[in-house]
This record gives sequence, C-alpha cells and structure tokens, in this order.
Amino acid sequence: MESARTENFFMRTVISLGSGGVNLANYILDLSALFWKSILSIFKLHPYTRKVIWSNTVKQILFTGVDGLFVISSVSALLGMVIIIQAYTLLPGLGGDLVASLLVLVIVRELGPILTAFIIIGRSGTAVATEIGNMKVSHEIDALHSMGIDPIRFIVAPRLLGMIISMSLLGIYFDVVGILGGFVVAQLQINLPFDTFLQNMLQAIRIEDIYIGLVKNAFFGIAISMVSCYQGMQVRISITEVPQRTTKAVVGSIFFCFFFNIIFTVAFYI
Amino acid sequence: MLSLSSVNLSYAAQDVLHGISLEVMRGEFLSIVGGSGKSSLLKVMGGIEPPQTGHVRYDSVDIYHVNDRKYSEMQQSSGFLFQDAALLANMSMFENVALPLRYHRRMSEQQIRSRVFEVFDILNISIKSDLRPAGFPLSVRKMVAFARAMVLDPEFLFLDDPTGNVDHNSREIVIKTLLDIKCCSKTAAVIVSQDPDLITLTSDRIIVLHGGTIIQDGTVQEVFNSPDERVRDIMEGMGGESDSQSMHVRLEQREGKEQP
Repeated sequence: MESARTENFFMRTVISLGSGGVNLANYILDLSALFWKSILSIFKLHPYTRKVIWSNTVKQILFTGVDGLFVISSVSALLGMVIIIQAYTLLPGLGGDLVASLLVLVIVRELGPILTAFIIIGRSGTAVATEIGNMKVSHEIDALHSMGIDPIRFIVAPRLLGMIISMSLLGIYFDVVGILGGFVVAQLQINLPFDTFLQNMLQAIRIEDIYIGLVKNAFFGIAISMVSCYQGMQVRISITEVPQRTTKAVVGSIFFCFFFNIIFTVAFYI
Repeated sequence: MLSLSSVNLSYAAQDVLHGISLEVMRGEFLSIVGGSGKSSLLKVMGGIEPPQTGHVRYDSVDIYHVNDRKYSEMQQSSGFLFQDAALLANMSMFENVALPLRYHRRMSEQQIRSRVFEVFDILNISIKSDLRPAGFPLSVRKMVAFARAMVLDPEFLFLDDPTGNVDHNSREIVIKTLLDIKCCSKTAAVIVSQDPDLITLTSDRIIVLHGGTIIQDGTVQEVFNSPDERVRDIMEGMGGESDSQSMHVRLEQREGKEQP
C-alpha cells in the first residue's frame, strides 16, 4: 500500500515535471517563431510600408526610451550613491581607484543592465502587453487583418526594434548617471577631484565592458518585447485576460532577462 | 466570386457554424439574418476567422491557404466594418482611414488626404478628424470605420450591423451610400443586420441562419414569404427603427420603384 502510494507520487511528479518541461519548450519555440517572423517582416517591407513601420518604431523609442529617462536617471543616480556609501561603511579607507573599479564592476557589468531591464519591464513591457491585449479584445487586431496589414509587422516588429534601440541606449545612460551618482558621494567623502575620478574610471573600464553591456541590453530588449507582445497576443476574447497576461509578461520577461544575464556573465567574465 | 464550401467553425466545444456552403457574386448584396453565428460567418467570409474545416475562396483561391503576401493582396480587395467599429485607439480618426492607403498604396500625402476626405464627404462625416476615436460616440466611430472599409474601393464589403447604434441621420446615409454603391459599382456586400429597412432596401438575397446552419437562402420576397415557421419567427422578430411601415409594404415600395 505504502509502496503503491510512493510510486503514485513519483509518477505524478514525473508527469508534472514532464508537462512543465514540454510547456516551457513550447513557450520558447513560440517566442522564437515570433522573433523570427518579426525579423523577416522587417526585411520584407515595401518602401512605402517602411514609413508606417518606422513611424511606429519611433513612437516606441519615444515611449520606452525618452519617456523613461526620468525614472532611469533617478534609480541609477541613487544606486551609484548607495554603492559608494555602503563601500565607505565597509572600507573607510577606500581610495579613488577602488571607487572607480567598484562602480564599473557593480553598475556597468551587472546591476546597470539588469536594473534597466526591470524598469523597462515595469514601464514598457506591461504597457505593451496591456495595449496588445486590449487591441485583441476590441477587435483592432482583427481590423488589421481585414485591411491586409500583418499585425506582426505593424505591431510586434516596431516594438522589437524600439525596445532593442531604447534598451541599448538606456543601458549606457544608466551606467553614466550611476557612475556620476557614485562620484558625487566620493567627492563629498574624500574630496575626489573629477579629473582623477575620470582617469581612474578610464583605467577600470574595459572596452569589452561597453560592448558586452550593449549586447546584453539588446538581448534584454528582445526578451522583454517578445514576451510582452506574445502574452498580449494570447488574449482571446475577455478583458479579464488582459491583467493575467500582463502579469505573465512581467514574470516571463524577468525570467528571460536573468537567463540571458547569467549566460553573458558566464560567457564573458569566467 | 466568393464561395464557401462545407465551412465548420467552433469555439472550444461549441459549434458556431456547421456545413455552411454559399456563393456571393460580384455586385450582389447578400444579407445574413437569424440566430447566433452571423458575425462569425461574416468574419470567416472576410478572411479574419479561419474555419476548422471547409474552404473560403475568392475567385477560386482559398484565402486561408495562401502565403502572407497573397493574403495581404486579397484582403485589400475587401473592406470590413466591425459591429463595434474597431478603430485603432492610438491613431486619430483621419489616420485610421488613411492607414490602408499609407500601407498599401504608393500615394502622396496630398492624394491620401484627398481620398480620405472624399470618403468622409460621401458619408457626410464632418468631425475634427485629428482627434482619437475615444472622444467620439459609437455612432461617429462606426461611420469612420465604414469610411475605412470603403477607402480602398473594395470589391467586397463585409458589414456587421452597419446601422446598429448609429443615429437616424447616419443610418439614412449608410443605406443611401449602400444603394449608391449597389447601383453604380461592381462591389458586392455581405451585410449582417437586424434592420428590416436596410435588408429590404438593399438585399438581392437573404440567408437565414439557425443553429449554425443555413435554413433559408433566397430572394427577399422568398424569405419574407417563407413557409418555414423558424424563418417567419426570425423575420418577425427583427426590430426596426421605422415600425410605422411593415416590411412587406417597404418591399412592395422598393419593387415599385425598381419598375421602369
């Protein structure tokens, strides 16, 4: 009796893990297909269609990039300050060269890209999933089909491009403002001159840090846009599905950003 | 010609359309009346909702079995009016109507403006067209959606309840516009409606849906005089805005007008 129950539990666990694995594999395949179709749709544009798609892309860049500058500036400056304040609490004799190394290590390599991604997930990922979900419910996607307009080309591809461009630029912006925030605290604590700080910074930072950060941010942009668009597109008929799908978009985006983050860290820094 | 053969459609476990076969010729005005499944059938015909089984062919090409480019080309020859207008919320009224032109036609900005306002004039739409749809009542949004459906000068119009939720004036304009299209072009129209005026005045043929199948397919006269009790119930159950005249009287009037 006991062994039968154990066997039952074991089987249930195996089945549950198996179906979870299959679902995850399907999810990743669907996202990859959406990404591939979006890329193809960009390359197959008519010259006069290009204008419409580019206009949508610019709107996405403005919403994700420009409108997000205030939040990004605040978070990054505060992060830079907190890092240096905590560093001085731990190591009161911290010199200017270590300040620079610490900021590069923490902000440029790790926290900058991932925190930028989190902010974008909160601001733009949710907005994209909600917008597309609402478009599904109000038959706007059907209307696009009826006009012979491919929703992937018209909606998904501009959001993909917009997110990649915005994320890459915002990542650099986050690094710069975060480093300046750290400098402000360092200046107040040890009266560190800007010239010396800049010199130390240039020595601490490697060119690889910049381009790895760019590539990382671009991948985060792909992950956020694809997951958000995909979840928005999964809404069927009911408005109550929209918040559920938006939540899934947030969770999925965070998962994939962490996944890409660990891949890049292992690939480039180990 | 548009033809449907053995079309079946279901949502989850519920059968919506069952074994639908019909044809719509160029220039023909077909109305769909009856129970549930009318809008779904219209979507299937309009290339928006692929059926589980069966074929939907435009001039012998199955619209659901072509590549993306061909599908887009085929959809340009049809215009679709949704029951709830379905205008794009983040675009102005003007941009909503201009979108198919911007996307599919090589036209200058001046040509686009001129075509959009030409259609606005036909439908007597006079609004601040640079505003977004959210600020307008459904009546106005539906007229603009009708303009969007007409802007590419389509061969087929699919209209889901074109006179529902529109004001009296707009309703008359819709009916008049459809009559103009009918008399002066080769455009065919498939109309889902419960408006007896619209149906009797514009239709060449009516199909009556019941339980997801076609129970009657005939001329206006044949349908109104149907011996089938279910058809009679459906026709008598249709509400109209001008109930002062019976449908038979309006039909007779129309036939009288058509006689030379």
